[in-house]
Amino acid sequence: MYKLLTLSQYQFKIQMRDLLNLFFIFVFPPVVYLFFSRILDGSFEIGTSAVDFLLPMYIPLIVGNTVLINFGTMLVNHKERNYFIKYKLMGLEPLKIAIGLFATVLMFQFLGILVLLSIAVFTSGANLPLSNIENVMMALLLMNIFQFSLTFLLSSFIGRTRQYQAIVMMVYYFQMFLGGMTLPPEFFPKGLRLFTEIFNPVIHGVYVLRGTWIDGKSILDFPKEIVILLGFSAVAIAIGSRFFKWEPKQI
Amino acid sequence: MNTLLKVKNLSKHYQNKEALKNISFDVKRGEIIGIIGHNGAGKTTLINTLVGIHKQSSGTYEYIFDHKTLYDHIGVQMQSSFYEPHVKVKDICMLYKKLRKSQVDVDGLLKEFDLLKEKNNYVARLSGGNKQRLSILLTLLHQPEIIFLDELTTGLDPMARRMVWEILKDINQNKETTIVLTSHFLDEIEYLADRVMILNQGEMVYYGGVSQAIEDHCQGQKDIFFSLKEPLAAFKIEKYKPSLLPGARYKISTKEDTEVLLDLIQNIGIDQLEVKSPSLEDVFLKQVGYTLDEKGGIVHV
Repeated sequence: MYKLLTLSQYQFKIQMRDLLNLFFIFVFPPVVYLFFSRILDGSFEIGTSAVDFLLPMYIPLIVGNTVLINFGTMLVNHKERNYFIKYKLMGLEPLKIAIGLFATVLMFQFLGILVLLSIAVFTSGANLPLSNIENVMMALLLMNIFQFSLTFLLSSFIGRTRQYQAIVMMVYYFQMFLGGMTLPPEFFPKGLRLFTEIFNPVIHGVYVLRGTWIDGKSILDFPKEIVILLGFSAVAIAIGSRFFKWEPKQI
Repeated sequence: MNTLLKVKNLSKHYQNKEALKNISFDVKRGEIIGIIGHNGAGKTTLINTLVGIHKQSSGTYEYIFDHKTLYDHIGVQMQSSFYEPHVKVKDICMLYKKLRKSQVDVDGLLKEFDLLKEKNNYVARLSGGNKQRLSILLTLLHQPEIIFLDELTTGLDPMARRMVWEILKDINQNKETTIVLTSHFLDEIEYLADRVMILNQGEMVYYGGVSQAIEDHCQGQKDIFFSLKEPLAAFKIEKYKPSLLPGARYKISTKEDTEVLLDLIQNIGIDQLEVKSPSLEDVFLKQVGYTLDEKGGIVHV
């Protein structure tokens, strides 16, 4: 535990020096939120203001950025550059290192969400779902499990950091623009929304988070979405486990 | 000197390839062991197996200490040493110190390695030589009994290489650290190593003292290099069976170097004289089945 904590602190410190990383976690989501909450204000007929309606849609942006992009890049980079082996030679097993890396991105995720919520509350007077916090946390956990499984699957097939970054950006933008993380899915044409619900499962995570956040629903009110997200995660982890290697291919 | 590591009939296979074949040797405390061989000879595989990165296919290796505490006793510098982006020298030192639960004085060690002024610098901005110094320093942070260094000086300029050599000599002599290193540079091994292992296609073709290897190879023979003042006098040196080298130079290998030299200088007339004892390079080439042709090119025999 001591070694794990030490490694996480170290990773946190060096990640804090990556300005691009900080921008996408702490600056980009609030900017998108402030921009769309202003231009979409009054566009909804569901009795909720844009500032409240959009907030749970932009939290998955931070989850995607920290898990899919940051954790995935670190994972592939650790494989490519033999960091897992380097730390193994100090008595740290690769799995523990991966857990340490994930703990680091969770810290960033927590801080990123905190910054977004603070800005939303102080600039727009957004309401927070404090009375349904346990269901919101479960929805957030579900979203993390889904993104982790997708990251694990991609990193098990991609051996180079640059390749991973190129591919994951396409996945991330696909999730962002067609997963309800910029414009509400209700704005999509019917056919596009159906396509997204089939091929972009992250949208189901957005539905669950939005339902627990805005409507105060229980996570159990979303059985279809939970089955899709956990089902995808189970398959992705199973395939990833089959192919994932902790080190570059041997001679 | 007691034996720190004993390796017996160690073999390693990768699918169709036999990377190590029946390697047996021992390492005594305080020694510097040099492992040489060309690309793919098995140097890195041997190191990686001995430090537990790869599992051997057959054979055994035994350290003087309990294998469960292996990583408390050894330090390893892998062939490609990368550091995370945005990391500073002091960060990586403190991380290693904490992970190793070491009591070592980091500033003292940085000063010893002439890196104290780089303490707050990013590792990515260090020169090649300083990066390698840092790599060695990191392997020493937990005061290991034996360190493994895989092609540590590859890519360094001659000056930086020399500096690394001096550091290695120093830690071997003053900290009594046993060192096992691989290298492509035979002069490096000749300068540093007490014993040398020559690997050829996974097989150990020689293991023994460096000076002994050279002595066994040359058996008192010396190489005399020269050119003739008068090219037409070439027939006069035929009796010494000389090799013709590029630039109309000749090489004579002989045990009677004094007599031959006197004859060449007094009776034949020569220029550009050079007398050399065979080097580790000659031993290496012979052991792996190569020789130099008359143009100085490498040919397989």
